[in-house]
Amino acid sequence: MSGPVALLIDFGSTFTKLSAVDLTRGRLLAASQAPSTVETDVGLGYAEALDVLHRRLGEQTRFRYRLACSSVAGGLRLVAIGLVRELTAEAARRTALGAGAKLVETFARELTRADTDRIARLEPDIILLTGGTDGGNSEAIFANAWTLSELPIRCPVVVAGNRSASGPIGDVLTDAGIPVVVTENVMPSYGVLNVEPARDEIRRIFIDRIVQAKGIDRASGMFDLVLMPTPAAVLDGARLLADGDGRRPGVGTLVAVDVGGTTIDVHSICTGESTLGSVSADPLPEPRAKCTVEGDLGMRRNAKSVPDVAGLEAVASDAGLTAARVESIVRDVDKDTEWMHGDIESRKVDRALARAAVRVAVARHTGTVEAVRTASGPVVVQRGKDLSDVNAVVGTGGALTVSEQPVEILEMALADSADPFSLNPGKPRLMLDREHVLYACGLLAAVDPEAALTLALTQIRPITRVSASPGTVVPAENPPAHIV
Amino acid sequence: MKRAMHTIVSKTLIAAEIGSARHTAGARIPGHALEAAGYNVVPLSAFSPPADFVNAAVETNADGILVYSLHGHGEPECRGFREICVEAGIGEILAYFIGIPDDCTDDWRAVEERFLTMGFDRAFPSGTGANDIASALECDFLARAGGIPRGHP
Repeated sequence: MSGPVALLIDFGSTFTKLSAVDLTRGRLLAASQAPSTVETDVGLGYAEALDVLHRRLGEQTRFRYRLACSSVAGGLRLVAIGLVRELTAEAARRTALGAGAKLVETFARELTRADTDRIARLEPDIILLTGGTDGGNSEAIFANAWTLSELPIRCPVVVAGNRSASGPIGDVLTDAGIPVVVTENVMPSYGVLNVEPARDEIRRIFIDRIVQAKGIDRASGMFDLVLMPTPAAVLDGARLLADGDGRRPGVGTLVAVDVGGTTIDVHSICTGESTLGSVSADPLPEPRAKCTVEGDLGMRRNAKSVPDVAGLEAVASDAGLTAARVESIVRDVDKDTEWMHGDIESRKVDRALARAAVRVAVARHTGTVEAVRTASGPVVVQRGKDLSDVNAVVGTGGALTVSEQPVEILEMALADSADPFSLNPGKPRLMLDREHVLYACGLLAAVDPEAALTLALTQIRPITRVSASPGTVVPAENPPAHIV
Repeated sequence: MKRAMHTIVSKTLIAAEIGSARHTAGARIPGHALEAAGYNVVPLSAFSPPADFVNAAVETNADGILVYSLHGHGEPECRGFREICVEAGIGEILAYFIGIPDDCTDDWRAVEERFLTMGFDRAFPSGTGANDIASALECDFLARAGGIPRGHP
């Protein structure tokens, strides 16, 4: 290997994952992972994974870039505050998710004593304070700034509300010793969403402060920069895969489902405009790059709640086991979150949990339509995004990459053919990120978008079901060789 | 009438069709005229329930709400409107109804009385010109500011 190589790192809650990418050819050279060692020194797990990576590379490689994303220690825990729940509080929520934060709670209106007690207990890493359009209501955001100034919190506050009040609000918080960043309003006028400035500030604070607070900087001599939270890296990777790098096209509109141990994240890169001729009834427009994080669904830490949400009988029926047996296996998973595939029954439960979790998570991400009777006849009204004509559904995350039947899991994201009003993806290409490179593409896009796009297009491949042997899956075309 | 179109400034109005109206033109066209008169007019999307009007008024710190309804179901869709305003902390906001309240309206005086009872400050039949709305707004805003007694423009 003679060309420059990039090292991409994902400090996850459970595993630290590494990818080495040949920048000249945009090829994955090797990948490795080791258990994350957040409790002691994050550098230990990283060093172990790096050692494995070097052995797989077959030589001591010097890396041109060593870029990381992180979701350790609970990720970037963010509290969002707005005025009206459906408007600025919702805009703040979408901003937080787009920044890759873990949204721990959203508050609307003026904070009550119960709210402030809750915020203190939540111990957020960052607070996003919004409220009022520019020139609109300033009383609520002012009152909330005063309330925050009296709390025993010292986490940074991003102020992204009514521009007319932003300066004095910044002063109130600064005088209280709270680090403050004032930026543009997330909803400058009614129905206008402006997430980028606040999102960028959240990411900047993440790099400058949160990384240190989470102890990742202890390993800072071993890499160059932690660029963003992991969900943000995956969203950036999905955007690159969809849109291309400006010179080469991507795969077009897509939905990416990240089936993780603790959460199921769904990313959509599309406008979500109606394909049914529906009328939009959303007070706020949907962001083209939209991310939702389902904190009650996961394959390990939240496995227990999947049957609660999706129905135990349904999961058991899908697994072909009794409800009692499924409950028993899920209890084992809950006790040992690093549990990996064991016997056949466990694998059946794992598959059924993944299918149920994907179905629920994508349904929550997708918009809905309803027929409304009007004086001039029935009208179909849409709320949220219409995903029915996206080009691709991309699967990533441990449960999919180790599955023998990823198609059967990804198919749960698709529309039910019996439901004419479903807005889920209709007939997309199913694609699999088998080597877990989507986060790496997002990180690499910041420094070398061309190599990042090549990596995405070569590693994330269409998959189809093999009819002769149901459940077995092969890449649809020319699987790239990889070393891992 | 021209006086009203040139003297009102710096007031924000929420102006939209309520409920199951399938388009927004009914409120958008008079909205443009009110903008020309100096109002900051905030339009809403189609199929806006009363709560959307109130939420928009809260965020924008609006001075008034103009509820349009041209499809003949305005009255049932406006029931409880003032109560929603009260719940949202803007119980005193100026609120007008403009349009067709039901399918069989012939006595506008009786209709107006019903809307006043529902908590609207004024009600106008469909076809009322933007100038007349603007004059009424001017009267009411001045009256609220303590300038002149509230009355018909």
